Amino acid sequence: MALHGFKEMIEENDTVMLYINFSTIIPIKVSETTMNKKGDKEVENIYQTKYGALKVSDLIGKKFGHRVDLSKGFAYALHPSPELWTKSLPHRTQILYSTDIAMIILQLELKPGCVVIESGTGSGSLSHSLIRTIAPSGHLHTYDFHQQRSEKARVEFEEHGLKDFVTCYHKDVCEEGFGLENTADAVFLDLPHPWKVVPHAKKSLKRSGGRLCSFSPCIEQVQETCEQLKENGFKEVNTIECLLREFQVRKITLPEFDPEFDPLDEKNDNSDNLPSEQDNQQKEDGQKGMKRKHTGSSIMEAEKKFVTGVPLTSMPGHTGYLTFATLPPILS
Amino acid sequence: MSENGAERMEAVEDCDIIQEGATVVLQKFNYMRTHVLNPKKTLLLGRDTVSMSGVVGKKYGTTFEMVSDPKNKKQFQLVEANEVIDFESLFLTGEGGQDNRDLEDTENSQKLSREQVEEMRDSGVSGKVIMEKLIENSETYQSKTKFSQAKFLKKKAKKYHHYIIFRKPTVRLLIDILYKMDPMKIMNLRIDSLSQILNMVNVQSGGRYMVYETGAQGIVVASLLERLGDAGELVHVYQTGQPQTACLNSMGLHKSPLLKTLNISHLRSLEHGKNIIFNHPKSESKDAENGAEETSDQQCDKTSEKDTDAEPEKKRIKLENGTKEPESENSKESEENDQKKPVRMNLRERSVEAFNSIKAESLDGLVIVCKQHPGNIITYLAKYIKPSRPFVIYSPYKEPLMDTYMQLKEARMAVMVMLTETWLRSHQVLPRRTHPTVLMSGGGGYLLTGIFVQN
Repeated sequence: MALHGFKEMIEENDTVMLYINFSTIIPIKVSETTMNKKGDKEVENIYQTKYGALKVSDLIGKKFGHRVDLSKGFAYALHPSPELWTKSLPHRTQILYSTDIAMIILQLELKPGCVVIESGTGSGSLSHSLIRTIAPSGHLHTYDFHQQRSEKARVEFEEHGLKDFVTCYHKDVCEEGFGLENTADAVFLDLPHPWKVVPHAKKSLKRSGGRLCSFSPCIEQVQETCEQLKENGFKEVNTIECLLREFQVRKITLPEFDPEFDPLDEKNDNSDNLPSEQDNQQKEDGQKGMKRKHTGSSIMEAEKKFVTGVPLTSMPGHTGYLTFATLPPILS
Repeated sequence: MSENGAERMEAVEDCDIIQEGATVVLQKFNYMRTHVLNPKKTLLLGRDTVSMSGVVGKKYGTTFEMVSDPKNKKQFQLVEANEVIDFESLFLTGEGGQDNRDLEDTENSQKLSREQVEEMRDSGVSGKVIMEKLIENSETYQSKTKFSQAKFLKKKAKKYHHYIIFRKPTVRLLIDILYKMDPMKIMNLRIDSLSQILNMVNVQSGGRYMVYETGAQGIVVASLLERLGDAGELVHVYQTGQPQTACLNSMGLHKSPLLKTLNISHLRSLEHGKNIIFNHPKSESKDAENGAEETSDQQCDKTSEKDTDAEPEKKRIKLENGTKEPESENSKESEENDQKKPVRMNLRERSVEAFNSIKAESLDGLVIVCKQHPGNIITYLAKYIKPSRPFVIYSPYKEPLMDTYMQLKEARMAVMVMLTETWLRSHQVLPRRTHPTVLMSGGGGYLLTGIFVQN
């Protein structure tokens, strides 16, 4: 099933993102049968979730975005997208998340028709987003020095219907370069030694100029890379970081201190727990002042309600530094 | 019209040669602005008047040197530069001092007076020579540390850097220009927030999207159009008068065949089966009374860019260089009225065209970037978006998005609803002088994202 293009109805061999809850999104390949764990026998494709079992073939004929009922609850069958894929893909390496990916794509000025070079391929998180942006007339050349990872990525791209838009290379680009000249609009590097690749990147970019991005977790890598970029004629060398801050939206009720309310005053004694005339009187007065509520104890509490967005107790503090640069056109 | 549109788009994308009438990004050192190239006109840059002849026909990326007219020192011609003088490589050659323990901050370290320097400038002395003289006449330059010297040179380069480069406009450059000029003109939509919008709505070539945009100069519409390439559809829903198109014009996208416009009041009428074109004669005069809106702007950086959602304002005619002609002779006004009539009619026809399209088939994504509270807007427009498609709402404030979050949750219209902001910081990276930049943006707006579902 293509991670490019849109469908309304689920068919066999599609990939469906099964949405159980916020942190549980599972990519499911829609097929009647699947290989068992040992890989030696075909079995009926049944997926176990915490709300019950899902017979995967039941998804066929259903529509994306519709509810899927399970024995103890329900889920949603969502249409795949590079963002959902990044959230749910099997990690083979540390991956790039949507926040950095979004900034990379805009800063590299990518759009349909662009040719992009990426190294390393890793788990293919960024690759899927890049392909989505440059397809159908653009192309992604992606390199990784790890043979298995390069192959796994290639298989995944094919399964996702993307093989026309991407070429995978198993290569050490630091030693060998990209093997492409005057080809790319943009180069993306996520390597331990990106400065070694800068001259190769320069050659592979188009003579009419292009953009480059290098992602590095460590500042030392950034320093070395920036120096190499400047020495090789890159301009507008700029290093930034971009972090996501998420807010949890909640309805909050806070008890309130009322300076006017004296719990020791006789008329405020509710120990017999019967609404008295004076209680009702107070309630009415309270309408003008503060809202009151009977608590378990004998003291009535005022409270204030509001909707708020609280940041998470723990947020990503660092992913990597993003360094961008422009290679000006060759004018002669 | 669509054929012309496709041709025009191709011309902007493929051609490396600067054409007459093209909107370019003009860059002088770190300063950038958009400009429509007219070889017969001049451009005011700071205190200098620069002639634009000699630019058309050259390649984008060519460096031009500003050469002053011997008769009038403030007038400049642009001449292709053979070499660009880099102050650092020329003047950062000495040893430099160890540290600044003996350096006193007096105003007398520079022996040349301001008048002397200005005299040199006005008499056409080159930036290189001025720099030499400044260093010669500085008591402290040689004893400064090399870092300090570099900082000094960078500061002076800004002033005496007389090179101009013309670049093709891209959304990245455009939003940088707009944000630096006045972030509130685009509701504080910082570049990282814009980048998140584009990714979260999964914009891709061939997709069909709806953007409700007011108050951001059309930058969101322009960005999505850039990402659609040559296939797909973008329905720009707007509120009153005319849709804001300043950024579309800067990118050469205002005639894109992929763009449809839809006035939300027209949408309401059309949903009730009314014929909005048949009604036009009566409401036509009413619209004209309510005040003229400007015709499409050519430049994004006009400081008096008009807010088309404002209450009726008096008529204004804007010229390219931003000056306003006084409200005037009757002949001019009636001429303007005639010009306005076709624009109104066109907008109504375009609304009908857009409505037919979204009614025939729902869309693949929704973006809302507007000055109104988004709560009612998303519930109103959601019916035109297919299930399992994303929406993104931008607001400079958190509260409207929190309200909308609650609305969506209660109506169970969406899953994965998230309220986020992005934190952006830049770094100065120099050997042994690397640190985050001293000033950073305090905020770039908030986003509410999610995926529509069907229960």
